[in-house]
Amino acid sequence: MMEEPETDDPRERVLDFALSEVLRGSESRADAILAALVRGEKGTYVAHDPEVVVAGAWPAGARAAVLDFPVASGRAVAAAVLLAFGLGVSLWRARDVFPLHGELGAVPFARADRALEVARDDLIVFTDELLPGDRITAGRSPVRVTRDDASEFLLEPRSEVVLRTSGPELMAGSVRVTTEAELELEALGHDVHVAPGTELVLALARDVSGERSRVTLRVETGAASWEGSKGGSPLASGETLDFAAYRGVVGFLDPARTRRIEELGQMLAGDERDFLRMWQPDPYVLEKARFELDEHLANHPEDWYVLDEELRDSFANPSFPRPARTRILAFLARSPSEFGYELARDLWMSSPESFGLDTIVTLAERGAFEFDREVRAIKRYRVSEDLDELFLPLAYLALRKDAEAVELLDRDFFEAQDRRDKRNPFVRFLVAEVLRRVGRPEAVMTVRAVVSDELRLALERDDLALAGRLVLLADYFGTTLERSRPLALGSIASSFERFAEQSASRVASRAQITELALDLGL
Amino acid sequence: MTPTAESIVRRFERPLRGYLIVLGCPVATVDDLVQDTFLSFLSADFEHRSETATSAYLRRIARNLFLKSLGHERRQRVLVEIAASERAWIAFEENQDDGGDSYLQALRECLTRVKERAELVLRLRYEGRLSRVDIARRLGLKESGVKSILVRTKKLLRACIEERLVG
Repeated sequence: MMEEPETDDPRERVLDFALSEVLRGSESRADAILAALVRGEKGTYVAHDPEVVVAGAWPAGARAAVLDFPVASGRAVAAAVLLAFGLGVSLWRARDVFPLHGELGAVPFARADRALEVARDDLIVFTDELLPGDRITAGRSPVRVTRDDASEFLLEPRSEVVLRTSGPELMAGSVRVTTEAELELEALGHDVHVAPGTELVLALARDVSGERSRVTLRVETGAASWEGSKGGSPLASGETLDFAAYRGVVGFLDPARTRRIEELGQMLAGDERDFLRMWQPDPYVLEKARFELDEHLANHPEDWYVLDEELRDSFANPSFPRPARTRILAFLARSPSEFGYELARDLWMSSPESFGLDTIVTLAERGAFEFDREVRAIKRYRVSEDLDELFLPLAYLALRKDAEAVELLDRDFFEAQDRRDKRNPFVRFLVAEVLRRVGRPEAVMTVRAVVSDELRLALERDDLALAGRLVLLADYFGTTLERSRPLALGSIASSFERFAEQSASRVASRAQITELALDLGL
Repeated sequence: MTPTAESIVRRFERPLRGYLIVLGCPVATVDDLVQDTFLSFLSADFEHRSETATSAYLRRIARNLFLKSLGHERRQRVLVEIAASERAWIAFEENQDDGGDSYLQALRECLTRVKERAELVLRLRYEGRLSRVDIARRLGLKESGVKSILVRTKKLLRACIEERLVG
């Protein structure tokens, strides 16, 4: 939430500006903006401090030795990169002023066909010289990487690998490998041994729920063999193999079956389409429209093609309202169709500012690696904000064994009691459930004790709406939520609201609330 | 000669920060809004005709982005005072023909007179970009206590700066 300034007099706020300039210094901020514009654009918090990024590209001890290096100035880097991107200088020239590693004893063992963002430890560096452990991502264009041993791989668009000395580990998407040397690939714990003179494609896909994945290996020439926990086998030229059981995705259709766009456009011209246009609709109407559109698309998945075209046009229009954008993205992210999921990922490239935190977390939970990275960056750069805003990203990371996220939630929950007690009850229950799942069951006891007191006070005040909600929250998190199943953080708020709406008749009177509270042991 | 994108960012980022702060944008979020402003500006098909025109165009983008970032109630209040805020900023820019350097220098000198505790609060607020609540938590004060230290200290600083600029 945006904090109010100390004064309402704009003339006095000139001093705020001056204090900010003097105390914080303004020298590096133009560089920060330039670098962020080029590298991250908005919505990518990793881009806020290029000085940290550039500094971190060198080991601490070696940094002094390169101070005279052309890239020592963040301004020079930003200028070169901006020029390379925006003003027509080709990218290979940017590489000349940005050779990050050659002088430091960390010898690159592979080279990309162009300078690109590389995740190196916790940093993002811009380089074409690659080290073991680097994580590289292909956006809309493929990336070709050549190793010192003359093997080469082509990372397909929207794919990601971590480079190992033995060979790449595929994290997402697919990679085509051609090797003149022996090579080992890895994907989801499966090792692939590649013989010299082989060309193959390794692909990784997730199913709709994001809970299961498959790895496909196709050998085009040469030979390979694979090994996993359940065995292994050799693979000859022309053979294809799926490693993991795969449940088919919903929603993809053979494009040949797609009806003519004009006809489908008419089909979507009714209420379903209004869902996409409403500015601030009534929540019930919105939920109904969302449900109907969902159902319509489940029955007519070919209409995704119409919707795809509609949405791309709408998002390209600057006057298309942001609330509608955010709502559409949330809808796409939660759609069981892979089509919606992929469309949301595409729109991230052009409209990152329209993504709500819940949508970012939903997409990360579904396995979109760029959103997983965004969640981690949010923790890193926005953690000083109120946890009411950030509890979802932190919960996502805590459930993935991020010790810092667990500590932040835990500390906020137990140490800052005054804040904890003021927090939205839904957030308290959710945080307690997350902490319980990471081995801190006392959080649930704490939240139940606090809610029990609040419930008593609400009943004393005759605030039956609050009392009913507290009891339903306790019921939802205590008994309804299946504790053996993964927590779907991105959709849990709407899932609870649906539950609360369906259960409204159970807490319609004081007597019912009291009885349910007693049943729940509150 | 048409300026490069980089030169536009370097020339206007500081005035834009000032403009947004004078409109009421919190210091903690002003950098993000300035970045967004330049992103919109560079994505738009804008033709540079003069420094004044470019400056006005950037201010318009920044103002719209700021208004979009506000909740309904706060937006209404900002809109009521937006004309006065814009006048205040333009008056400041016109009075400071050195781009505000003398004002900043006067402030630097005045800061040496501020008491240690007040300076710490100022640093946490403007250097650390902490909210008043976070400063209060860190120093064991109430939020209202932090607010009154800020208001009091800034009043002293304003008087001191005016004295130096006039003198």
